[in-house]
Amino acid sequence: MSWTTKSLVLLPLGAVLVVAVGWWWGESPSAQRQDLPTLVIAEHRTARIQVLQQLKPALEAELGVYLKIVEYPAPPQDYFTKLVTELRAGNAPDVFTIPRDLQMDDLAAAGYLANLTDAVEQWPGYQHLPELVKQLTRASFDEQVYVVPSIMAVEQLYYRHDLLTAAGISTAQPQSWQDLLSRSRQIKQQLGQYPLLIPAGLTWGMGSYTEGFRYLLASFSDYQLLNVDNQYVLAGEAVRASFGFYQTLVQQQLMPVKPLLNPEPWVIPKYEMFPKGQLLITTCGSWCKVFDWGPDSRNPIPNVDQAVQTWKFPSADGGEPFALASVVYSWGVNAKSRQQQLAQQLVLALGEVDVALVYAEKLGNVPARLDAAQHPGFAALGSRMEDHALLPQARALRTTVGSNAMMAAVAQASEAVLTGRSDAGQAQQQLIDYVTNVLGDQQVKPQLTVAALPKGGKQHD
Amino acid sequence: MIKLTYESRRQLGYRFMMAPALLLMAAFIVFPAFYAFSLSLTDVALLGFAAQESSFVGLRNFSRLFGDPLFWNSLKVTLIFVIGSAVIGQFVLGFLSALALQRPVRYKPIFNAIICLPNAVPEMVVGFLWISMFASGEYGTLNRFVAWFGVDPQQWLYTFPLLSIIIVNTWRGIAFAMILLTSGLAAIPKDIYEAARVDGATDTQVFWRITVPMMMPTIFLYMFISTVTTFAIFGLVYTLSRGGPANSTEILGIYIYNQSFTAFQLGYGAAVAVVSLVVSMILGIIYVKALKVEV
Repeated sequence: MSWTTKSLVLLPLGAVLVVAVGWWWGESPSAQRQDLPTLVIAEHRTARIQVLQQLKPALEAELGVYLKIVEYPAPPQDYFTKLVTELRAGNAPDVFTIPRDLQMDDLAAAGYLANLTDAVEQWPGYQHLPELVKQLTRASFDEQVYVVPSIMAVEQLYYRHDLLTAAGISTAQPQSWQDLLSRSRQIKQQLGQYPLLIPAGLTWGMGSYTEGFRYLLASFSDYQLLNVDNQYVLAGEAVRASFGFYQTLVQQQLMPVKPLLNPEPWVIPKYEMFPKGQLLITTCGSWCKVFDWGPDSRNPIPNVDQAVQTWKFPSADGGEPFALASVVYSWGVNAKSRQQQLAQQLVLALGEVDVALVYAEKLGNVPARLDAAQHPGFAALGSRMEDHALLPQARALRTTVGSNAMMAAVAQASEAVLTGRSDAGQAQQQLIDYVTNVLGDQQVKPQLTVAALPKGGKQHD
Repeated sequence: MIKLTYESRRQLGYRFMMAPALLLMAAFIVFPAFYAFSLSLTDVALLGFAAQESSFVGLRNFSRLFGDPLFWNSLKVTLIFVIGSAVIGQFVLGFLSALALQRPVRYKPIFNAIICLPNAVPEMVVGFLWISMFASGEYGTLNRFVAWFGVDPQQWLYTFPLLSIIIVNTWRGIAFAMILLTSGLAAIPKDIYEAARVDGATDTQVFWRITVPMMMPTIFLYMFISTVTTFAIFGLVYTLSRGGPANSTEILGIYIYNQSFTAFQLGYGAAVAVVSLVVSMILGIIYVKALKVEV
């Protein structure tokens, strides 16, 4: 047999042998997991995985299980896509996190989430959740609980206090959109830098809604995204005015538009321009002073707690300025998990204050439970203790099934405003058309049509 | 017992040998295509109530599709991408490389390796490599290079998005073009060239009157393969630009992905995939039939 023939036979055989040994090695049960039931947890982002690894021994000891942590892709959108496809295929992990509260309804309606209502209502931690959080953990279509909240993002406007003070520009809380816009114009005039960032556009994905458009909608004190029939209310003045606000920012060059059209649109404005002082105000959440600009982040701002401070989001209609709150990374149980009881015990354990404080400390954000304030470890949150205190008064916009389509539509319509292809009125029409096309007429409030409103977008002087 | 002739046995043997390939094609190409078509007639989704119970919607997905400016944009972008990178970029540079390496060149294996290397790198790795190359700011490789000539740092993927992905795909695909076209060049009998030289033909005449006509079947075979494969590209462009900025690099593959796995509208995504398959087939038929190429 020639060497060529030998290698043709031996190489594949060798490869098969290596794969077989590797598989056997990887699958051989360790002493640790031999007698214990295994629960598989999906987690993503290095920092979150590190925290879970840290908590793992205590959770395993408490529940008598072996926890297998499976690493998923890092960007939330990619994580969510992989999770959804696995849930659909029936091979998803037992326990997983849901990045944003507004993704819960879609998952629950698809039948992917186990109903946790009984377990959560009997859980002592439930009574310590603010009303807003209790509401956000219930699906809008059946009022059942499908997730256990652990941490919350409190979202406001973050501004460079150090640079504004040095320039002699007021750092007082803006009371209205007009206040915010005139402050922005002053910043642009005096410092020659972009004053304000409100995320928008296709590549920011769901963040165009959650970190941008939602702030503007919530500025209308009587606006609700859903009506009593759980239909999306998209045809009113609040939606048009919100697109109009973007239009003003773009036309008056108060917002950096180019970076928002990049594949990773947050990188330049949030991680480069804001730390360098080339952008002075941005929407952000309680994670920002840790994850985005904290001392251990990749883009630290020196003395971040003093240098960067917060304003509540100003009202559009004379109401009080407000903070928004979102349930982030709540824990859900796979409806097809074979270990329902254990998985439910695990998510309740992950909802305890001790656990939430570790997550909050390492990743930013604040514990969802109000009794966290009495925990000895609470002080480690530093300035985020003030964010936690805002939870009972914070605002949120409840969504329903189809939020994913609604967010995709916001991303698309807001990009049209950014690029100048559409004015506010046209963007609103695009939003309505997209959501109606995808979800059907019955999920969009039919009454007021855009054509009935004045033409074009309202400009803010 | 049925007695088979030698010819029948031979034909049966061929069919038997082809069976595994045909089965695989049926399982992984034909069945998914029909399944995609059946999905495209429903409102099935990965999320929401439609994930549990989808309903038949007829041609509603297709009527939505043909009225969607983003679909037409992605079709246009795909055609420019295919023509720019496969038909022009890869072919021209691949042909030039093949011609150049026909001549006696020193260190020929090294040149061959340099040209073939991009094809050996996985698609996603190529994407990340070029992200670093095109990175904005002063640390991007290309920006460091242009800085030597006094040019300010550019946002290449923002300023020249489509051109950038065309360049990357051209770079990656030259090897395949070169290998295929080299085999075509090698198949041209040398005595034709010698006869032409004896008759006093110049290099240009030899190229246009002998090389190009004799290479036509190989060229069209290459065009057919590269057009269809480039039409189906996804990973490279997704890594580089995710279809942005402002949909300017949203080729059909990315549009389908976005509809199916970002908006989770599987039925609509399947409708786009069906249309993409039809366009691809039409292009294939044009190559195979209208140009009378034997494939």
